[in-house]
Amino acid sequence: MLKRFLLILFAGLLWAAMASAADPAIKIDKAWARATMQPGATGVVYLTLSNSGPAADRLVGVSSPVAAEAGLHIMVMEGTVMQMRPVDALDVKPGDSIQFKPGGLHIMLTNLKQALKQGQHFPLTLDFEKAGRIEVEVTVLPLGASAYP
Amino acid sequence: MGRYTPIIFYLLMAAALLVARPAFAHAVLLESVPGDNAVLAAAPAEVLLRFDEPVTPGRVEVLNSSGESVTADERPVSKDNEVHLALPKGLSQGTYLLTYRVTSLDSHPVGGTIVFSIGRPSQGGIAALEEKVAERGSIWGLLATAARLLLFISLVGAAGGTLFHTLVAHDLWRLDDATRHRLVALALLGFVAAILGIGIEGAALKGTRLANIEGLLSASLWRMGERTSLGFSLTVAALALLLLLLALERTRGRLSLLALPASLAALASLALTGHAVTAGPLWLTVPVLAIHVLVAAFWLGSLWPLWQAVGERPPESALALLRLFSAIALPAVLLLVAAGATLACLQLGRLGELFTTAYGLRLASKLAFVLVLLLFAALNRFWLTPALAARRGQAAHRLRISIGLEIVLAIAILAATSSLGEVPPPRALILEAEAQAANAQAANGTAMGGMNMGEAAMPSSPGFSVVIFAEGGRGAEIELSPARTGTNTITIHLFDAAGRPLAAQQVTIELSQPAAGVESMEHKLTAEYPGLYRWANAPMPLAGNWKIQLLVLISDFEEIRFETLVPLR
Repeated sequence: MLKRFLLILFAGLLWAAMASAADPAIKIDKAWARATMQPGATGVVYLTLSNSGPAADRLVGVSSPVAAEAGLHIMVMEGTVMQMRPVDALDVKPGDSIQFKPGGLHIMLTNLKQALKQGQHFPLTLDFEKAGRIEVEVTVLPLGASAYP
Repeated sequence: MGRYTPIIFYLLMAAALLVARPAFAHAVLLESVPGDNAVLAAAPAEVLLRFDEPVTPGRVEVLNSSGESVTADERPVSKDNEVHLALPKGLSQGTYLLTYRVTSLDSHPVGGTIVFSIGRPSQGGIAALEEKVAERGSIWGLLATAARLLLFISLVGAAGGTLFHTLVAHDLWRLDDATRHRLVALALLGFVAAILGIGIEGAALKGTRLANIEGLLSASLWRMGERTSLGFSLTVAALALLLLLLALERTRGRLSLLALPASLAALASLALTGHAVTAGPLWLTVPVLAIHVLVAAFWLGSLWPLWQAVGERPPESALALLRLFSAIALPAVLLLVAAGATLACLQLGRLGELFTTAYGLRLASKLAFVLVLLLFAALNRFWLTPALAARRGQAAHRLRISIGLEIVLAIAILAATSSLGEVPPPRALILEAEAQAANAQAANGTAMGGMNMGEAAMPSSPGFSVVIFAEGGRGAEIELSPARTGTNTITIHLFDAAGRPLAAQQVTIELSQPAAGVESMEHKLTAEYPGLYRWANAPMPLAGNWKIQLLVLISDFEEIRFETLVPLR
């Protein structure tokens, strides 16, 4: 009885491991940043995040080699004032497709080591509770850009 | 002698009130310099801890990232509410752990750690270090509980027994040798437990390791233990028990007159310290606690002599004793329960805490034992004693078994009581959460002008915040401050797919911690601004993952639900 139970458990785990390896549940695309004028400034990254897997996950951190610090932020209205608030985590439920966009969720890059030049690409790492670290390539769009083309 | 008993009792109570030092609430760390997680440009000359009341500093030391103390030669200096510790010159770059343990006047050791870095933080290692430090404290907590249990057993057995033999049996002056020796042995046990308790308190404060025999025997450690309010109370208990021991040894001499006052003094010593004393105004807590302790010791201490009498004496004699006891016991138990309920109310603040905090759960288990004990007491009084009077067969045997079980329950109650001292009562948790929230706010206000190196471009979140989405791209940003056990402020921003504030007809929040069996608490929120909701004092007394559910009523036909987990430290 116990043996059979363990066998089923093992098979289940194996299946889950294979399923997750075959098709990553978390997908990130359309990652872009706005160009900046000089190093040391603050950059901003927007992207689209989707979860096609069966389980909820949670984004708990971001980092990039081009900046000393990176963090998740959201713009919210408090009365008549637009406020930027730091966010520690973002829940990504199954079927969610979350758009980071100007005036909403975004990733702040503080203390940029180099200016972000139009047409350039740089890596950004997103840290998930279950999916682990996922690296994406961010495209730098011109100064006045407001959406991924 | 019996005539003077009440007078002696009141005199002792008055004395207890006079010696009780001014007591304050649980000490709370208000500020540290450097602050927690601060990154300093240069090594500071000293570290400073500021509390909300004067404290007795115990161990205050600074460890480097490999766990070595860099302040082994320094001694903490306390001044009013502050504790200062000088740092040696030439500290290298890296992360340091400032660990402290102090006692407040309610005798509860308060400890904590502050992490700060000089130059830049070291990689890793700190988490393991923090664990090691926490472990050191818990061993002493366990030993302190054990010592307290032994002291309680002794106080109930020796002092409570003396009360019984004086007030009920009137035979303290003609005790048989076996009984006298038992009382003497119990008093000796309590004396030793009280003395050990002082050393354990000192060791817990200094953070001495158990294996460090030399350190445990050092005079400074015992002096440290004696200086705290618990040490003072234990010293009084030890001296009173010593006196009781001498009085019992010579029950036929003049010293024997001291047995009753010594017993009362030993019991009253418990009212000089502890959580219960600091729970409310002193004029209320000290007398109520003294009554509680006195009556409890009398009741539980009577069990053994009664058990003995039922087994050894002829039925008439045993019955007479039982009736004498019963006449005092009924009003005494009512008084005991009333005093206990008063103290519990002061400690808990509200009934819900009985099942949601560690303190509440321990108290609840004590109450459960007490209830069973009361059932046995009723059984003895209303059924078994009349059966003995009617000379039914087996009656004495049954009564004896029943009293024997009562003794077992009494020990369980004492064990539950002694374990209460190691966990902070809910009222202290709430105070601590408030102080930390206020502190976090103050720290945020000054961070910009301070010497923190990581230039604060953004107000850092003082707690925990999470963003979640529901159908139709509508989202919620939920913020928890300070995200520590106790009372939290929950702030919620609701927005629609375009990022505009989402106006709802009604928002209901449900808080629960399924893993710990905390059922959901429901709270209706009103909007401060369109889309902004706040619950300023959400009770979250346990660490771990809390489930937050939001039910947002958009219109009569549409309701959306948000659900997330927030971690609490």
